[in-house]
Parts: sequence; C-alpha cells; structure tokens
Amino acid sequence: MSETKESILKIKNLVIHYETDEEVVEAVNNISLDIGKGEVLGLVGETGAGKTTTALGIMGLLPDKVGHVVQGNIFLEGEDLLRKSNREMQKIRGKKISMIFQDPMTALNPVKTVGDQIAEVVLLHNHCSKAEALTRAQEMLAMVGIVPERYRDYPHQFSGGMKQRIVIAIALACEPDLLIADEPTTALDVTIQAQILDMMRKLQREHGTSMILITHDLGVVAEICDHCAVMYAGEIVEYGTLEQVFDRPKHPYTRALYQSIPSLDKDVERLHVIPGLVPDPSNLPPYCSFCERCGEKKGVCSKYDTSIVEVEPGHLAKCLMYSPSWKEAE
Amino acid sequence: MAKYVIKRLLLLIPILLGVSAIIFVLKTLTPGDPARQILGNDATEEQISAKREELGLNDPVIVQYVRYVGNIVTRGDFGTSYRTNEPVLSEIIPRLWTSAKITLGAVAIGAILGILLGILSALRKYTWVDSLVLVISMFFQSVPEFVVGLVLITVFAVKLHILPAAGIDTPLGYIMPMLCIGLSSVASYTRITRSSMLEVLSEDYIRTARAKGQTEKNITYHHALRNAMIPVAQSIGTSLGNSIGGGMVLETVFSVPGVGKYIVDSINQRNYPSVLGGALVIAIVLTVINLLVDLSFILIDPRLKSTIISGGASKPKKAKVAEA
Amino acid sequence: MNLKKVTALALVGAMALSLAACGSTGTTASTAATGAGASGSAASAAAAATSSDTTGTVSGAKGANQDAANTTATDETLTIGLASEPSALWGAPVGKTENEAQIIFSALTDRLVKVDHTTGEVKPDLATSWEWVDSKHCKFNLRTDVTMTDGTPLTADDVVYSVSVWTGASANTDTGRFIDAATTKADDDHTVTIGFNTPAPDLLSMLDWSNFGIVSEDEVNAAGGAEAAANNPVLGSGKYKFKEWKRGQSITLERNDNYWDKDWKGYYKTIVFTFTSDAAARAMAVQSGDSQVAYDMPVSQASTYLASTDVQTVMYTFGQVGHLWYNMSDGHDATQNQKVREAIDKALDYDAIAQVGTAGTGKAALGYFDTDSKYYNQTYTEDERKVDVEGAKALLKEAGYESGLELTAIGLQDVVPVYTVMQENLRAVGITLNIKTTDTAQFVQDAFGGNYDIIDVGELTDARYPTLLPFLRSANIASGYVIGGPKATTDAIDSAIETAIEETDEAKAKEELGAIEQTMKEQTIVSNLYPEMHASVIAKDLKGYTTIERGFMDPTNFYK
Repeated sequence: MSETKESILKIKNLVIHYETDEEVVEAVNNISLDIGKGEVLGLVGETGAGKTTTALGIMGLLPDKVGHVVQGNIFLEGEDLLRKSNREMQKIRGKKISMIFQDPMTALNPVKTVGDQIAEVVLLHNHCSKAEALTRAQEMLAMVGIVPERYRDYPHQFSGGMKQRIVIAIALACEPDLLIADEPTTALDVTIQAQILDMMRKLQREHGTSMILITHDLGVVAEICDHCAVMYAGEIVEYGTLEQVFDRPKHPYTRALYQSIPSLDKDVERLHVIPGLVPDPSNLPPYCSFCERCGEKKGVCSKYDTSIVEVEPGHLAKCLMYSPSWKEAE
Repeated sequence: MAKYVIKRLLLLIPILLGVSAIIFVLKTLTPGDPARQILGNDATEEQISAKREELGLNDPVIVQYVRYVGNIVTRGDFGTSYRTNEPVLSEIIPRLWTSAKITLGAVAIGAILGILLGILSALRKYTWVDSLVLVISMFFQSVPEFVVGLVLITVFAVKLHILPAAGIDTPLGYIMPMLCIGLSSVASYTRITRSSMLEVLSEDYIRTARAKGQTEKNITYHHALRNAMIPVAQSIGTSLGNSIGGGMVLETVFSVPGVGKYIVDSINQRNYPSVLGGALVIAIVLTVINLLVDLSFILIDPRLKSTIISGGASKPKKAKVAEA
Repeated sequence: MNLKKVTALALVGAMALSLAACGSTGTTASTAATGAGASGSAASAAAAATSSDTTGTVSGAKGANQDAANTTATDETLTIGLASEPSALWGAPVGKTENEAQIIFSALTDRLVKVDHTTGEVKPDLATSWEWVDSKHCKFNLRTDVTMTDGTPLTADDVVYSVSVWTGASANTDTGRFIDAATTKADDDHTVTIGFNTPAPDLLSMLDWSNFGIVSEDEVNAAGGAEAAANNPVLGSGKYKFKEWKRGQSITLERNDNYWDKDWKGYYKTIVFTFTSDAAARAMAVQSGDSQVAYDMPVSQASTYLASTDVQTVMYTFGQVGHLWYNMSDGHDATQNQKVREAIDKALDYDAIAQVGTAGTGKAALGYFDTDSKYYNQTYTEDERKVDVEGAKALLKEAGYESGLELTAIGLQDVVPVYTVMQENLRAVGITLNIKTTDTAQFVQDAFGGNYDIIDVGELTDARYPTLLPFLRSANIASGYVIGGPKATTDAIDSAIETAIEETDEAKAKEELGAIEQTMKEQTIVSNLYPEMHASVIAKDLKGYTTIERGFMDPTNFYK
C-alpha cells in the first residue's frame, strides 16, 4: 500500500460482527483500507460481502445493539472514529463524511419538503438562519440539476432519478471530505444511472471530495474509480489501482467476476456463472472462504487461510497462490 | 378536493338508508306495541288502534320506512319522540354536544397518553419499560369500562370527595367519564404508536437523517413521529366516531345526558323514533368525522393530497408516484 | 378509501345491531330501576294505592311520619337521585302516570286529603272535612287559607277544574276512570262535591295520590295551558315550587315560603332531582356526598349498604304483597287442576322465598293483605305454610302427574331469584319450572294474554280501592287487561269482591274479604308469598324519611 499519498481515511484490521441471540454473523473480517484525498475507491463484491457493513461501520451507524465493531481502527484524518462519542460522531456525519444510500425511493422523509431536508443538514453543521439554509438548499438543487423553485415540493412529487439527485444534494450540502455512496444507481433505470454517475463524477472532481463507491457493478467502477477493492465474505481479497485490478486481476474471485460480465464484443453461448454460493457468514470456514467456489484451488486451499499480500507495488491480493509454498502444493 | 368531499358526503345516503333499514327491521321484530307504550296499560283497544293509525303503525313497514326517509329528506324531520312529543332532532342536538365534549376529551386523554407511552415503548423496546407499558395499557383495555367507571367513582367521589359521582352539573363532572373512556383506548394507541414508530424508525429516511448527523431526539420527534402518527391519526378518527355512539354504558353509569344514554333510555322505553334518530345522527356524525379525519391526513401526509384530489385509491405507505 | 367506506358502513351496521343488543340487556339489567315507570303503571292496572310502614328492622332507618313537625328552614339544597327522568311532570293532562313524576309532582301540589300511611287513616289536607252525600258523591269543605302559585286563593272552582283535567286525557287511567266529572260541582267558594262513577268508600284514600293534586285554571293557563304545564308545572299550593328542568340532567324545585301549613315547611330551600339509572352509581353518589338520597334501590343491592356507616339504608314494606297466581284458563290443564295447584302450594318453601325476595329482612305472608292493612286476615297458620313434599307428590299422583310436569313462569328480571327458589322447590316434587324473563313490553303482553302457567304479581292492599283483586273480576278477565291472575273466576267471587269494595263499614269489609280469602284458599287460586319492600340509601345525617302513595318517598319532609 502506498504510504506516499495523503490519506483521508485509514481502516486498520476492522472486524464487525452482527450478534443476535441465535448466531454471530462475521460480516467484516479484518479488513484494512486506505483512501487518499480526492481519491475514488470502488468497493466491489456480491451482496452480503460486507460492503455496506463496512460503510455503516465508518459512519457509526451499525444497527443498534446488533452490530458491533469487534476490533480495529477507523482513522479519519488521523483521528480514530471508533473512539468518538455519539455526539462527536453526529458532528462528523453529514459534515465530514456523508453517505448516499441505495434506494432513493425510501431515503427521503415523505412528509417533509425536499428543501427542508436539504436545509436540515446545513442547519445542523453551519451556524446560519433557516432562510440561509433554504437558500443553500436551492443552490444545491440547482447543482444537482433540479429547478431550485421546487424546494417546496415533497419527495413523492419527484421521480426516482430526481430523488437520488436530491439525496446527493443532501450528502454534498456541507461539502464533506468523504462521500460514501452505497450502490447509488442500482435502483435506477440504466439511462438515469449514467446521468447520476456523470453528475457524481463531475461534482467529485469539482470539490475534490474523496469517495467510496460501493457497488456490485464492475462497469460502474471502471467508469468512475481510481482504486478498487474487491470484497468477498467480509474480506478484501484484492486491492489496487483501477488498472491493476482490471488489467491484471490477481485473485481467482476477481477473475471469475470478470468472466461473469456480459460482453457485447464476444459472442459467448452463455454467461459464465461462479458456481456455488457465498459461504454462510455465520459459519465461515477456517480456511479460504472462496475455496469451495474457486476454479484454481489446490488441496491446501481447504487447509489453511492466508493474509493479504502485496503482489506488485500497490496491488494486494489474498490468495494462497501468492504464498511461497504454492508451487509445491498439490 | 370539493369533488372528493361531495363524493364522500354522497356516501352518507347508502349508509343512512342501511342504518335506518336495519333499525326498521329490528323494530318490527321486537315485541311490544309502541301505541300501548305511549298510552299505557289502561288504554282501550279503540284508543290503541286510533293511536296506531295516527302513528301510521298500521301501514306496511316499507310504507312507514319510505315516509320516514321522506320526512328526513324533505323537512329534516327525524320524527317525534313517543315519550315527550318533542322533535327527536331537537332532543338529540344538545345531547350530541355533551357526548362530543366527552368524546373529544376522552380521545385526547387516550391519544396523548397512548402516544407518549407508545413512543416510550418504541424507544425502549424489549426492556422492562416496554413490558410495563404493555401491562398497564392492556389492563385498562381488558377491564370493562363500567368497572373502571365504578372504581373511579369509588375512589374519586366516594373516598376522596374530589369529583362528583354522577352528572355534569359542574365541569368537574366531565373528568371521570372522559378519563374512563380515554383510559380504555390507551392500549390501542400505545400499540399502534409503538409498532408504527418501530416501523418508521427502521425506514431508510431515518438512516438518512442519522447520516446527516441529526440527533436521536430530533430524529424521533421531527422525522419519525409525524410519519408514525398517520396510522394513529386514522385510529383516532375511528375512535372519535365510535366513542360518540359507544359511550352508552358509561353515559349511563355517570348519568351523562349524552346521545348514548338517550338511545339506551329510548330503547328501554320502546321509543323508536328516538332510537332511530339517535342512530342516524350518530351515523351522520361518524361519516362526517371519518371524512374530516381523512382530510386531516393531508396535513400529515402530503402524499395523499394528489390521490385525494384525483379521487384515486390512496395508500399512505406506498403512494404511486407520477413521473415528475 | 373504498375499504374505509365499507368499514364505515359495517361499523354503522354493527352499531345498530349492538344498539338492539344493548336494548335487551339494558332493560333486563335495569328493570328494577328504570322499569319502575312501566311496571308501576302495569301494577296500577292491577292494583291500587299505598300504605307505608317501615319495618324498623334496619338500623338508622326512619319510620314514616315518625318525626316531629319541622319548622326550621335552611338555605341548603337536597339532591335526590332518581332512577329515571320522567317524560312529563304533571301526568294528568297528558294521560301518564310515571313513578318519578308522581314523586316530584307530590311536592308541588296538595291533595284534598292525605293518608297516614302508618295507620291507613284518611286525614284532612286541602279539605278540612268531608261527607258522603250518597255512595257516589262526597262533599268536601276546603281550607280558606291556601294560595296557589299565582297568589290567588284556593276555591272550589279550582277543584272542579282539576277534576276536568283528570277526566280528560287521563280518562282511562286510574286518575280519571273512577271520577264522574258530570256530577262534580262547586257548591260554594269553599265547598265542592266530587262525583264518582263507582261506589267505593276507600276512593277517599285514593285521592291522596299525587295525580289528584289540585291546581287552578288560571295558573295552568299562565303556564301555557294544561299540556304545556305538564312539562312546566308552575302549579299548585305544595311545599315546593317548580323552578327548572334541565332535560337529561336535573329538575329543580324551590321551597314555597307561602306554604299554608306553617308547621310543615320545607327544611331545604332547594330540592334537585337527578337521574342515574345505575343503582350502584346512585348509591355511590350518596356516599360521595353529591346527593343525599338514592331512591328506588333494588332491595338486594340496598341490603349491601346495611353495614355501611357512611350512609343509612332504608328498607320498608309499603302495603304490597306478592302473590303467586295459577293460570286456571283453558289450555293450562295442569294449573286448571286444583290438585296440581295444591301440590305446588305445598311444595313451595315460603320462608326461603320471602328471604330471597326481601334480602333476608321479610317474612312469608299468611294472608292476602299486608299485615299492616286495615283489612288483614290471617288466612293460613304457620304450620300450613310448611313445605310438604310428600303431600305434594301424593296430590300430583292423584292428579295423574306422577311422571312429572313442566310449567312456565313469566316475569321481569327482578323476580328471577324468587322463581329460582320455586324452581328448586318444584324440582323436589317432579315439576320442571321454566322461567321466562322478558322486558317490560313483552311481559305486559304475556301477562295480559295469559301466556304463563304461574306468575308472581304484587298487589297493593292498603285500602279497598275500586281496583281491588282485579285478577278475579270478570270484566277484567273478559277484556284481558289485567296483569296476571288465574284468567278465570266465578260470579260468586266477582260479586263478593264488589260487595267488599262497596261496603261502607270497614270492620264488615274486613270480614267479607276474609271470606273471599277463604274461598281462594279452599280452591287454591293463589299462593300468598311475602310483603314486598322498597329500599333507598340516604345520607347518614338525613332525618324525616316519610312516604307518600305506593311507598314512594316524600321528598319534602327531609331535614337534618
């Protein structure tokens, strides 16, 4: 991992469990991440890989009583967020880190005008009057491409894409240092998706905001990210710059993902599907969790686990094949 | 909007026809001759039949029914009380007002207590506070109102002498009936508020508010509560109507001259015009209240406005949204 | 929203149904209280006036007229909880007799005479003296110091006017049907002759009833005419004046400070009547101090307050005896059979019945009349009233019912405890008793029509009213308008009753009635049950508990 860049967020050995009376779900298993200022990190993985949990962990919004950070640190500009009080976190959320959630349809309060909902975050983090906050709200609406006069309208009067623009406006209203976007376009039509992504990229560049983009869509990552981290069963299995991960994928899972992308160029009879299922996170194996589905596995893969290693400068992967003993293994 | 209101008011017609028809049928099925009821047991057969003729009781039920409905429509005449010979409507109106005051007070007591307890339960879900609230509110729901009423009388009137035992000669007389009806509805408001709060608190927009850095208190009261109040308001609307007619037992226990007691007394006296008039007036009030409640939802839930204006089906939870 | 409409409609429908449901349960539950109006008038068809004498078995109870005259007047208010609101206060012009109206109207007006309810003696009231001109005409001399509400003095014309009201709208009720308006006339300013259409010396006792209150035409006209005055009775010369009627809430009377009898002025400046149909709530209002009198308490309920130290419980007999009649008309083969009637008479445990009927304070009746009545004859010995199961079984066997028999008794909800005792008694001799309880209207219909085998009905027996023993009068049986009774009689009995009613000599009348009772005993026409009781709960410091007609309390004599 490059130590030269100026980092905004540094995650170290983060472990998050969901604990219920019946079981313990190991949602995030010992991950470390580093996001530089102005950098856009794509966090890729299947549903249930722990992407959203990681994001909620950063926000301090893990479900009450159930979600626990078991170990690790999350440093925002050097300060450990996990040591902050709830009150301190409230000052950080919306101001320093903002988050956009998956479904714009339900992310807005149906009984408040969109102007009020944007102004709310402004009022929370800035010393200003309600009128000033509403002016800011209108600016933000204009910024995301909505007629500012519509600030008096209610969410149900907007389409899905426009709602997501409003959600983005809320997230960016206080010019946060870090924006976490959790599948921001998944719920939208394809044409709208592109518009939203374009707008996000534009805004990100204009403001120099760092961003974590959570998605299961590699295409989206390719379009907007600088770096990419691939998550599988709560672990980061591969991390690197966009080209490293896309051009020279090192982890069998990443490689399998690429094969599962439908391609317009190649004429394949049927889409490649990764066989098997994601392992039950409440019952993870003591060895490589991708082992059961891996096409390149050897006998040792079901015996040991390994840690993530740097396979080329700045490019990390977590696979036994990069361990010294791989060649001898059967 | 006006179209919607008119449409809803037109609904009164089938409702009133239904109610009056039911009571007319019951009237013909119940024993006892109203004419004899009026004239007493000493009356001769000739007097009875003369009275029956005068009251139109000899006509077929359907003729009586049509005449009754006709009088209401053309003259606003709900009939004349057999007992007092006063127009039923003029007897009911002041009683309705009394009942309305008690109902409003009772619903206010029930709703305020219920909502507060419901919020408390939701915020402290699965703790002993939650269980305690459940037990207390269920207690008042399961114990019959008149028992609570008699207990209240014993405590506040007989033992403590701070409230009158019966009657509404002083404003203090309203307290116990209101409390009694109110307490019995606390449980349902608590439950509705609790489940609705829990549901709303798990909504995405609450997470959005948290992500904004909003405080839990403001999230509870500014974001969650208003949304959570929609089903509560619906139930308040229903109970407003129900209590007006449903306070009969308690109005009797507390000797409140309300419309409920009026109907109970009239039933005992075989005073059909009063029973019928009372039931119809309650049905009208119920319908109008329901309408007002529905209209008031627009204030709480802006999503309903478009659906109500367009007269379409409304589902507060997932309003179908036109592409803006 | 469609669903909501449907729900609203369904709700309304359910409401209507529940109304009807409430109707039936409400009636039965409160028969003892609210049913008083209806059953009272039902009884008046069958029976007559009153006597009131308290049993004295109850600690703290005040006997009727046992207190000294009260001349103190205070500014205090007396609140009396009644079971129901009357529909009119002056019943005569609207043809009504409701108990609550009688009670209130008695405070507003005076009658020509008043009855001492402890002795049955007829005493002067507005009339100082009277004299029977013939068997149907009685001449009354009026007081000269009485003023009506409008300040004018009482004259004979006022009495004549009053009679015309009684015989108008109330011509068919007990208020009007025995009075002959045509032969009623003012002899001079203070002498009036009232005509009666049936000879009955004890009609004088009847004139004590509050529906015979004397009013003047002028004050009635000032109140808006007779019908309007029924609801706005600024009338009469009584101890209290009508002040206000808040519909549904209360009726307020104010002391008449010009009352002619200076020794019996009202102690309370104001009397407020409130209406609480629930008896427990009525009593609790007394306990709480909101009111001073809870009137018309069911005896069983009142007895629960006997031990209470914060209120007084007044329980008293009032001249009405409960009787069990056997339907002897065709279609009722079993009860038409004297052996069956005798068997039932022997099987019943009269002490147990009396205990249940009077909450343990009363005794079985040994005659048709109340023991305090002038006409009481002990027709049975205590031994004759003992349970005789074997004798009953033998009689049933003789009658051909050894294999059992099914009978139906009808009544209002309040007689169920008594019927239940009978049911047990009769089960022991192989008779199955079906108890059919209905609401007042249905009961009246069934009782008129004879849809029963046995029926428990009370009759007021404190005087020989013209309605005495109506169950055995052929005219009543022919018309059907009598509540209960055997629905059969003989000419001998019918004429014996008529003779007893018309008898001018009281001692002779008592003998004649004794003879009728013997006939009834020999033929087992009726089984005498027990003297019925009234009960009220009153504030503990309240004195002057007295009664008027039919055991109603007198609201005007209370003091502290």
